[in-house]
Amino acid sequence: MGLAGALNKAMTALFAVALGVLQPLGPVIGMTIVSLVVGVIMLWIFAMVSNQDAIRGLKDHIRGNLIAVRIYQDNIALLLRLQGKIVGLTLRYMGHSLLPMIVMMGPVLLILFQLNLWFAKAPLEIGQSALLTVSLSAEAAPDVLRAVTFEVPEGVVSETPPVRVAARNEVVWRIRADAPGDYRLVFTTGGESHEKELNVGGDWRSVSSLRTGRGVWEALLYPGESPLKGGVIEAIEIEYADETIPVFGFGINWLVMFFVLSIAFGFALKGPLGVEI
Amino acid sequence: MFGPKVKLSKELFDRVRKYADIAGYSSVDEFVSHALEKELEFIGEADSEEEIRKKLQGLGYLS
Amino acid sequence: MQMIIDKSRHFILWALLLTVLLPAPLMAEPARKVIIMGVDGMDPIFVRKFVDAGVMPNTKRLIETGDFKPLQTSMPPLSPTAWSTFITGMDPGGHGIFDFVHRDPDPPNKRIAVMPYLSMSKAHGAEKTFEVGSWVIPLKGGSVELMRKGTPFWELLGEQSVETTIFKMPANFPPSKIHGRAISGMGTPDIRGTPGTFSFYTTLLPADADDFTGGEAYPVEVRNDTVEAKLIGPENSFRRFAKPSKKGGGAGSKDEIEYEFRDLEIPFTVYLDREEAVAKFEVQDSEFVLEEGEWSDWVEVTFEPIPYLVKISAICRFYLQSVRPEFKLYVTPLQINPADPAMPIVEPEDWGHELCEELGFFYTQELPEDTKALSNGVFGPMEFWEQTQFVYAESRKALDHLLDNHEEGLLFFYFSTIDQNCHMLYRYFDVDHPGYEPVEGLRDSVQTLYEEIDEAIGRAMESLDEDSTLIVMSDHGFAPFYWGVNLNTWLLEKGYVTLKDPSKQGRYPLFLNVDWEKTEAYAMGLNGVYVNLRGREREGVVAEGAYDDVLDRLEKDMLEFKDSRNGENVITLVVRTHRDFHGPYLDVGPDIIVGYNRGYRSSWDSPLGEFPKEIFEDNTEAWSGDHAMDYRHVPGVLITNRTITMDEPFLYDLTVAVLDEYGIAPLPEMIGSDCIGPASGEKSSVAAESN
Repeated sequence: MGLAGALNKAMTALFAVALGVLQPLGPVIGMTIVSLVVGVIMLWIFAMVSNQDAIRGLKDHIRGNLIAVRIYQDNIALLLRLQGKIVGLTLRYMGHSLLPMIVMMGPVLLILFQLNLWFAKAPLEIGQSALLTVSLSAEAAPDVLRAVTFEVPEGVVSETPPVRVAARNEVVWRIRADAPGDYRLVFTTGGESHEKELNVGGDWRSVSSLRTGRGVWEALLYPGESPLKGGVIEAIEIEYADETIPVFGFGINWLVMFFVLSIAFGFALKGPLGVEI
Repeated sequence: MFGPKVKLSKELFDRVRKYADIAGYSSVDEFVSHALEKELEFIGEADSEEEIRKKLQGLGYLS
Repeated sequence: MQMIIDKSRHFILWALLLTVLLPAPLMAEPARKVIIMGVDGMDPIFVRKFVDAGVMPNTKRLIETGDFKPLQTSMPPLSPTAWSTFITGMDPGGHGIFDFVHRDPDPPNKRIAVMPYLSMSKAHGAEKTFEVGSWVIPLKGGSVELMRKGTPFWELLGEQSVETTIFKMPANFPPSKIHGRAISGMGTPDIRGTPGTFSFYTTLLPADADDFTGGEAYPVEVRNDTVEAKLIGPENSFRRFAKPSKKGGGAGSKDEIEYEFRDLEIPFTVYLDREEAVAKFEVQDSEFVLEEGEWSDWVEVTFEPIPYLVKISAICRFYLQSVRPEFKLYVTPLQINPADPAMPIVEPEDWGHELCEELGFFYTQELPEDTKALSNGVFGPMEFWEQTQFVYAESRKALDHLLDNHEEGLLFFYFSTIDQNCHMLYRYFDVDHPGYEPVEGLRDSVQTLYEEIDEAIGRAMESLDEDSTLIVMSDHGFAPFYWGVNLNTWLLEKGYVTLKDPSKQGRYPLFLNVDWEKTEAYAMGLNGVYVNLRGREREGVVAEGAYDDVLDRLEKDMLEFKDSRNGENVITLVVRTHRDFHGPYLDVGPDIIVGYNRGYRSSWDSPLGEFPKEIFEDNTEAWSGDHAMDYRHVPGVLITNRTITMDEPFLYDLTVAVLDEYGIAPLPEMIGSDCIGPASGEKSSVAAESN
């Protein structure tokens, strides 16, 4: 396991604990608290990484020039000069936010992948159908494709025979769940065997749509289950329905809610926490 | 002159030649071309309204 | 102190103002419930038979506590006409719907003398456009106009603030003004603007695929166990292409470039597993797996006439008929999406969205039962039956939802399944039918349909309050369709029509071979005959003074018209529009409406201006029952929990009765009278209360 894998695993464990604690409160409060904490952490990172004094100075400088613009409204030549100055200062100001932004990007992405796991997909409803896709590596022979099977646990129904999509080295089933629960589906072909989680019914929780063995990037994107390793099965995917967060009767996309709230918290707390942004 | 040729039965050709004369066409070719053009126009008329007709035929009551 | 007085004065003023301004009904009691179940094609003879047999227990109970009579229908007894008569309380002269098909006596294509069109609505293209390259941008959008005239009863109810819900009323596209909610029914096109065009994708194209009507067959190939095909959508009126120039061009050929518009397309992919006879579909964002013989759920697709800017939403279902040895895939006509309608089918628009949230997607096309798929042989009889059964299930689910939410006012609910099935099923149970063909699973199908409706009637009865009224009604009944009559051929034989070239009889549609100078009358539509009147028809020759004489002769000849094979009269009723109808729209319709005898109907080809060689044809088509005849042979039904006060109530009497349920007087132009008695101890009406 590389560094990325270890980091990913750590993050997943962290969120599992943190959101596990928030789980009884429901997704709205869960998302609000996560946004608050993330907002504060972002502020802290910004304060650590950025040159606070320089930013403060630049902002004062810009403000001063803006006042000057108002005072010298009749002096066109001066106005133009002032405007040029303001643009320059603004660019320098923005330059100072660049480094913290870059530093923040990494953790924010990791957080987004975790939130995606918790807020983006809904568990299958009882009686609802979904596609289940097993992707094999390009080298897998046709008979390996044909040999892919999975054990159907009690409470789950395979509604169709497998569709072996030779053109893409995929096997697809339509499954349905008749009882709530977190199932483990076991897939085998040739000598190898892999598990995939299936979430049905019940309350808000993490829903892992993809278990993948297609490299670090996908493993980061889909951190819910440990990466598949060393076989012809490259990925196992369940097509869950998209989930929204119910706020005052409206379904809000989790990403929108997260950005709006964390930015709002960040701005609201920058004064009390004494951070200049 | 060396364009595509069309086969007519001897009997029809004789009749065409006879009537081409009576109708005042300068040649059998001209008569045949004219007759075919008219016929094509006829079919074309129906063709241009085919879309509308097809739409109406979508009603169970018509076919 | 002063302030307090001021305030209280204001309060009194406000209270006074509110009392004056508040609409009276808000202060009155809620309007009583009236439920009308419109069961297209429900036949009094079948009802009597199944009630007596004990398989319609709810209907039996309803009749015992209320009443049941045949309901006299319109002339012609075609659904658009009959429902329009019920909607407006007028005959076709008043509402202007005489047939499925009307004619334009002066069409834009000057080489065609008369052109048929669908009677219920009319599309208007964008009035102003500008062009950028090949793109055509409309400045003023196109529109669709409802051609039914007159005042619908729900408009009069709305004036008295009676809430009304109209679910799929025929001849109501786009829905006319309503105080309440409406979704359009018969007359609503699919997304391509047709009455419904299914798609059939196959590796083995049927020999008659070119002759399909109401559907298109597309050849596909299986490559690497994969099928690539396209859903064909509406024409893209936003983009034009130069037409490949025609050679020759005849006299007066123009230098102008001719443009054409192309159909929008959505590609889709099917991955086959031929061993397991199962397939995976990818259509835009939707992915699904179907086994052989399985139907998909509704799939939403989006056409983009202008990428990212203009979108047209549609819904369809896929039916994987066969994976091997041949690939056969049926796709329903692309429906206007009720949640995001590309044409105005629902009023108010967000009701469509609400319905979809409650019910899921549903058919919006006028008559969803795919009779054309059966007629063209794409469906077998059982496949057709199965498809009509889930059309019914969708309706039935919608009925539940509407009844659950029906707190006051009038609810009209339409069922199409009996009508469409009786058209197609007649030959499976009528041993005298020329197309008789027993199919095991369908022997009792008509009974099943009536049992289903009986169950729905029972559900409606449950939701009645003490003073509510339930009306179960139909627009017409049913009769077998044994023989098609080529009325145009008969007119030719009788000398009313002359052909330009008799040797080409039967070869051209749309009257192209008619010598109009020597033609007095022609037949168009299912029951219409038009006099070739000078001044009205572009090629008209009959002088106004001779008009009545032509009609007299036609009427006499028609009533004497016998089928030489059995000596029966072919026509038992001749209605003369100007003599027998009333209202301002007499000129829209034909001059004569033909009432065929039982067993007869207009042939398949005659309504659109063809002249087949023979006058009579045995009808061996799948479409084997009909009602386009003398209205006296095919009355509808009227069943209600009230008493029926007339011996022979007509559809237009029922309109007056519906208004009377709310104490509303009929309009002077309505021709009927109240035919339903009051409930015992009926309360004073809403209108009376509000006054």
